[in-house]
Amino acid sequence: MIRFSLSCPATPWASRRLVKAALSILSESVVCRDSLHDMELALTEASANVVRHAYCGCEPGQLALTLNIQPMEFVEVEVSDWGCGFGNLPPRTDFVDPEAQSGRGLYIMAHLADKLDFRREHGKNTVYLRLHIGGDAWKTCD
Amino acid sequence: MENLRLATREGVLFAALMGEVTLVKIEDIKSRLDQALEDESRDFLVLDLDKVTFIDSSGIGFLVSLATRLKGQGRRFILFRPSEPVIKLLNLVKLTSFFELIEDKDELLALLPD
Repeated sequence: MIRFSLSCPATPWASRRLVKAALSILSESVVCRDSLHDMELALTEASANVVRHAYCGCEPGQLALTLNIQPMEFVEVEVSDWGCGFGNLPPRTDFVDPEAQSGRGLYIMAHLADKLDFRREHGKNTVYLRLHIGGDAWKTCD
Repeated sequence: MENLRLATREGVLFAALMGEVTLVKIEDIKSRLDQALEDESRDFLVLDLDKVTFIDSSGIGFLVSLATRLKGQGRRFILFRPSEPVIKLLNLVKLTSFFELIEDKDELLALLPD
């Protein structure tokens, strides 16, 4: 397992740069365009949720991203913040009304990931995603 | 990189979105498009998505909001040539039938006012 950790201020511009940096790391291991697109979308949605909701009404805090890459098997992603958290109810990942203008991020993540989990520990909120990547999608040699 | 190009003809506003349509770009795109739509004689919007390289749920929310608003104003809104990333996400969030989608240029030309 190879582990990478990245962080930035939770602003739209910085979080987009963070996701692109993560994609650059992932593209060293994964060659399949569809798989990379799915990972980019999942990372973008998780990061955008932090930017939009975590530091509600306050100065943007930190956004941290951890990648655990198990070659030929899966990628685990943890997106963390130290903001207001998800509340007491589990976040909703079900389908939203077609006319809704927001609320699709968790639904998208739930459909792209094989496992999606939400954790809060010592003031740190983490969205955990595990994406299985088929053997053909990986680079086979350096 | 410029994300939006605008042109008008006979009451039709043609807008081409390019590159990434995410949280970072939405406010600027929305503001420029809103300004162009202030002219009420433009009652038909064709949004060309052929050059969109990446879109997220913020981008989709923006398209839904635009479609709902234009429909309420009795104006027509067409998504023209949605690129592969756009189609993929529209399918995932089950919105392909929510929008009027046109892939073919001749089909679009047949709809436009003479």
